[in-house]
Amino acid sequence: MNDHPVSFEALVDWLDGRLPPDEQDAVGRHAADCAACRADAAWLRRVGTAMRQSEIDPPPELTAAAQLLYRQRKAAAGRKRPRVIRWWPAPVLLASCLLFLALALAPVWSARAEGEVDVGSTVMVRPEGQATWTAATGPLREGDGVQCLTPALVTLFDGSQLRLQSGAEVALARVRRSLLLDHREIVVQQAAGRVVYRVATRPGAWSRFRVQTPTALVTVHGTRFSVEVGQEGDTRVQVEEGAVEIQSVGGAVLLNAAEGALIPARASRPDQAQPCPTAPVSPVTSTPATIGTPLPSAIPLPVSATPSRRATGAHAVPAPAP
Amino acid sequence: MATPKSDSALIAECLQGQESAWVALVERYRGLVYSIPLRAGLDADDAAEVFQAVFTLLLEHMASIRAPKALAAWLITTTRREVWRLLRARARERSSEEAAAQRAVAEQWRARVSFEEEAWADRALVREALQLIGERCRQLLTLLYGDADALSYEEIAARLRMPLGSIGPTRARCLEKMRMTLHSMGMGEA
Repeated sequence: MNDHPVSFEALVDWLDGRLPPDEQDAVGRHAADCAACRADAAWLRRVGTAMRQSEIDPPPELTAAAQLLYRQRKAAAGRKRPRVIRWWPAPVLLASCLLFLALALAPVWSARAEGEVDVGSTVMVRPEGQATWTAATGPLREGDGVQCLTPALVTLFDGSQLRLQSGAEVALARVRRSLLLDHREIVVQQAAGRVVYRVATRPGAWSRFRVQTPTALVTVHGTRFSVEVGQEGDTRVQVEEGAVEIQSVGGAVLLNAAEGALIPARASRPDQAQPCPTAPVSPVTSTPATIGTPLPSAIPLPVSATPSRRATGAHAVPAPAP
Repeated sequence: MATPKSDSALIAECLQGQESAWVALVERYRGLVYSIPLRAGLDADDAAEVFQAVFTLLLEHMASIRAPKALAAWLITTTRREVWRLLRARARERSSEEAAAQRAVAEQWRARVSFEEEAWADRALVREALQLIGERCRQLLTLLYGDADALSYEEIAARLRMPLGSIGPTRARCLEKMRMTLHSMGMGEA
């Protein structure tokens, strides 16, 4: 402003109206064409207006209280642990849950389990993928076939037992358990003969124990039953304890304890199932059979319970009294 | 002369945990926030309530104030909102005549508010700047501009015991100081 024809001081005086009349006019004329002067004048007016504003100061204690707010808030924040939200665990947790569920529930991914057979010269095993039968030497694996000339006992990994009568032939189509939970999936294909099944208590809701015959699929709901596949391929099922569900082409029937069913070789519908006459069933003891010891001979089962007919169209027959 | 800081700088320091910055902000805007409810016709107790509420809100929302430069405008808006909230609450408590009288004062005030807002915001900064430019300048500028009825140079010279001829140059020097101070405080020049 040094080279400016109107000094800042003169401009202030002009704004205040303190200049002699002729100078007041001259500065006014200059300011009309001078952008810098107008900016200075506007600023001076703004500050002047602000200075004339009355302001009422709050009581000192009120100001002090507001100034203390900061410290109080800081102290409160110090007491409260900062909540740090980490987002990365969410997908990891989800993935872990899914993996756990998959491993725990899906028998598809589960470990193959083993079974044992009381080894004897009368038990023949056809390992998975092979065509020839050989004498049983080691543990059974999924896919193995078992054929016996004299009664034999097969014990699966979960404690379930298959008592094969002379001439019975089964294949362990699926013997699996889940990796994490105690779920299992067992499918026995029974081709011939009679087998008494003693199924270990189902450990989980997803566990399955099934017996497939040429004409029926027996799903186990209970613990002890026998399945016999006749020469013609007909299937006889007799339940001692618990219940089994039998499925064949076109329908299903639920058998409870002391009930039996016959699914003829050519009759593929449950409603064509014939009453099972005397169905001799091997007695099953709760104590495991000694390995290598032949099972006692067949004795008729002493049961006389009334059959239930939960599934219509199916012939569930009671086992005869001894 | 202490270096004054802009609202933006003070807010940033507050957010970094410097209590001194908060103290400075309250000091700067205490008059503004306290005067608004009084102008709206609230009594001292209600004005104190508004005052406390506004600074509590400022502390809570400091991080989310989008334009820290416009802090004064934010404070005015927030204070007006708190005033209206309190007026509504008081209207429910009081007789219809009292409430109507208060509403009339508030309506009058409301009409003036937008016109005076900028001057109120400036006033907060100018008052602080006056404290920073030295005692002599503060006295001189207050006598020259602080009152609607301007004193003559003679009266000012007598009060400040300074030669009449030095008033003009001293005033120009003080105004320059004021301009620099306000500039560093973030007050945009017109």
